[in-house]
Amino acid sequence: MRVLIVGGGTAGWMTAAALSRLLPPRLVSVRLLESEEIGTVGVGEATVPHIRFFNAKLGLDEADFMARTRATFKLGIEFRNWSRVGDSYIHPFGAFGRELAGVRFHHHWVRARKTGLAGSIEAWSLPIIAARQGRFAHPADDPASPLSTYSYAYQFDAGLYAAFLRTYAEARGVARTEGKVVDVALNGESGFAETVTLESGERIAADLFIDCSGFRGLLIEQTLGAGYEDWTHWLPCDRAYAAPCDSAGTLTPYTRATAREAGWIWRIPLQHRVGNGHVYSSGFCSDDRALSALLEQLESPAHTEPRQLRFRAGKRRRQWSRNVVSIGLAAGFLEPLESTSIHLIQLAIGYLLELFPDPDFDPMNEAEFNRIMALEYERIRDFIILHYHATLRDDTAFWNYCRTMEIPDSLAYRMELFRERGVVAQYREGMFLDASWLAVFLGQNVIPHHYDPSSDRVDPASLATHLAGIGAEYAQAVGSMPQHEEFLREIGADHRTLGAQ
Amino acid sequence: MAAAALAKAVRLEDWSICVVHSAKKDRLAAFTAADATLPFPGSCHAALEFDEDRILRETGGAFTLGIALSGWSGPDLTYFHPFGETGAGLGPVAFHHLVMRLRSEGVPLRLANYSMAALAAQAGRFCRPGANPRSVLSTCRYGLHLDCGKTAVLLRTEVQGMGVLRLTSPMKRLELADDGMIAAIWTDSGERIAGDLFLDCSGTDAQLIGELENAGWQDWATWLPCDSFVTANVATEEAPPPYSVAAATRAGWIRHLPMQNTTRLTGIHSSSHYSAAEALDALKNAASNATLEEIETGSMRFGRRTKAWQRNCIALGPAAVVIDPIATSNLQLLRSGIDRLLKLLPAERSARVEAAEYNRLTAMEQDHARDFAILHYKLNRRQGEPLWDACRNMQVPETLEYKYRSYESRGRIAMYDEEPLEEVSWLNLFDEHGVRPRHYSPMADGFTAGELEDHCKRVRAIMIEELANVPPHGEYLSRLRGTHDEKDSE
Repeated sequence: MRVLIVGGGTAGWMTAAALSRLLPPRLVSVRLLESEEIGTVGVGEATVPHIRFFNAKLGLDEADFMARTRATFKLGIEFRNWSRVGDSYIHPFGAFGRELAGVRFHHHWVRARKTGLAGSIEAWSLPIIAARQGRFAHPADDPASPLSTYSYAYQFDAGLYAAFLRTYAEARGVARTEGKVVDVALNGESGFAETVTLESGERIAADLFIDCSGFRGLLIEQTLGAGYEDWTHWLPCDRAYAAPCDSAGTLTPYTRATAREAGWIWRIPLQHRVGNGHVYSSGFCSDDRALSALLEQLESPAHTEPRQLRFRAGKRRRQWSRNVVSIGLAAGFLEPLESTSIHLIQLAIGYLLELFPDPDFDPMNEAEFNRIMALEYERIRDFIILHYHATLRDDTAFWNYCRTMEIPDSLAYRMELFRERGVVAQYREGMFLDASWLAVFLGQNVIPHHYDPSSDRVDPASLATHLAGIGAEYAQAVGSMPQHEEFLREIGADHRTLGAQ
Repeated sequence: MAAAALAKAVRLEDWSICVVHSAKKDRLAAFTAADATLPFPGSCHAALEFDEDRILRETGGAFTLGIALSGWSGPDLTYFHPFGETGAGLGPVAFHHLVMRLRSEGVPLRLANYSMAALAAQAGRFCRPGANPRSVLSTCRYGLHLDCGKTAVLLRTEVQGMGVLRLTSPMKRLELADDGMIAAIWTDSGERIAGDLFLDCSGTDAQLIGELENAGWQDWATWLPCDSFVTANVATEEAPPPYSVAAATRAGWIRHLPMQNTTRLTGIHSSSHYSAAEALDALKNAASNATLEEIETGSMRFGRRTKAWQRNCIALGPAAVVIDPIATSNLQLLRSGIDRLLKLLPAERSARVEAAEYNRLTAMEQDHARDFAILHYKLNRRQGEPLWDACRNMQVPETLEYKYRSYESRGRIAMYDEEPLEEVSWLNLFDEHGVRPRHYSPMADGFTAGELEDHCKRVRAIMIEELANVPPHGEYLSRLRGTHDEKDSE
């Protein structure tokens, strides 16, 4: 089977790398078509822990990967000014506290808080404590150790990652063609894509097409007309300015998202620079205003003229149609508030492999792929909307809109269940688990009215002891962790060591 | 079970728990008198962890590693449905894809030959997986065969020691409040017990939830044809095999549930296809003419409550759902219903959000268990018997139809939210009934047939070697009894 990946960037090269590694070469030949003229977006520079499994499946060495992509470690995301101006909470990669008497920790915490016995839940998250102190170490394997209660991801240069994966894929037989598509020919009967024609006149035929062409969805949308489900009424941000600058301080092991008048500004620290961006809603904020807001707050002068990106929150109605599978921005867009872009690529690749089509393209593969990807996208969408909707801010028209807008039924249900009773509604597919929903609910000041009554079985003294014990244990364990920058050097993940090799 | 779990879960200074029994014996009492549990997926609430050893010792139950189904996939065929994992993947490729690949090369393989539980069951051996996750024994899961009547008595004694009140006079009637909630229960002796939360464990009569407005029941007779049962006990002297048997008949099937000194036989059939006499004869044949004791008969409706939690009343057990035991789900659903309740204990009288979430999850879970039962009938390969021919041709629920098409296409089990059974259970069922996917994962072609055959041989060899460390089931059960005796004499 001939596979043609249309488009490079992270989506294209992650797909090429995975297919070349995991599919038998005698059955599948992979070609990637990209044009150096067409810029790739590359703003997805923070990730979630799942990427470590992707890298492991490819057999990548962590230190090598980090040196090549100038990566730093990430323990979570700090959200500033989202609930109220002046607030700060971290959504960590890890759960809070420990169960007691068969009841989940946060119920005990809510109970303690009601009686004035507990402050912010952050004291019971080891990764949060470490992040705020600028420390990092690999988690421990021993489940009894407090250092096993968290996970981690990376902050990296996605352009360098794509380049790294390109070398990897080409070494494994992926052919690269330089060029731009000007036409796509479909089979008259089946409507399947058959060949693409390049500007140069060259024609490339394939059996399976992976559309990594970005927002325009050259194949999935422009050719096959799959349609777009628009979510801009729930997620009104539609533009961003992005620019890198030098770091002015220590290398923080976390990403920052600071809410602004009509959007938010990201700060992603890499080894060699800081990535910055202002995501905003053009309906509530002019381009000039957005640009100056970004530049005003940079910690050092921007390296380059900030680039503008325009986008629409939503997803393709059918991400797999006939013999075209869209991955990355061609499949849909959700703002990078929770570092989900690269993860959605990884998910799509995983399901494509699990459901890799037979030569007849049984429609069940397509149906199942679309069913599961839709669930993932919708649940991430709801998670992101939560950050906006659960605000107490009323200082701008944008925040008033977010606070009062209609939200999806699925999210409304979930919020009510948590608000009333402190329970996170369960689902099977969906990258964000209980601990994540909890971190954002509590961080956004959605505190349950009622906690699990079973908590009352624990007498107040024992409860206080349990809380104090964990808090002390975590604080102490963090104290033994090195500073983030030092740790990077120690394990040889510092990119400057590359040149010495 | 509910009382025991609640008593452990809540602060008894704030909550009082009272058990009232019903005056009439549940119509389904004989039907539910003995049952098998499935391995409980994931972790359940701490309050639901019971002392298995004690229960088995005092009630004479046994362990089970799975079910032997005879006559379902063909008139003289038997296959084994094991609990736990089957085979081992190679790299990123799941085992069943490797098997499909080898079969396409003409190598016939049976999934159960690569299941530790199946091998142990076949050899009449059992022990619990130890703490070692590296041992192949840890791929085994197990359930229990329980005498439910005796187990209930045991739990009752335990519970009374915990301050739970048990009334001797049975329930006479309900008292509803103006807002439609249950206000109180009146007993035969004229006592009025007010309450905030009521659990309906009264069986199919559903004496509580059945009295509430909108107490809907979704009937599943279109898909699950059996509506009658005949049960009996057969005394046994030998050690019980560590599995149950489900033997299909012309009009349904007969379950053999072996326990320490008895085997419980349950004949389940459609009254349109077997007369009562025929059903009894079938049971006698199944017992190989050993004496049948305590024969009872009755009828049942498979189905579920539209909403298991209505107002301040939660239905558990047969009051909430009854599924054809071929899915081995009834006790599972009971336990899971209690577990769910413990996680959604009402903080206030109205409990609106708790009830909504409880019902949302319960409905999904029960429907998926139902689908599993239906699939056995749908995939049957008995020809020329009206009941079975009709089942093979029936329309099934959309959720199941999708699962079927997904498996048939490329051996994928589509899983939804709140599935009570694991993927491997569905896989085994499809596979043993001869459903052959049109394609397998191309990743399986990354290995040569030789590599795959070696892999399979290795997997099986490791299991057979480990089998030597697994004692006979009977011996394991005696140890259980023996240890206790030793402790007594200390």
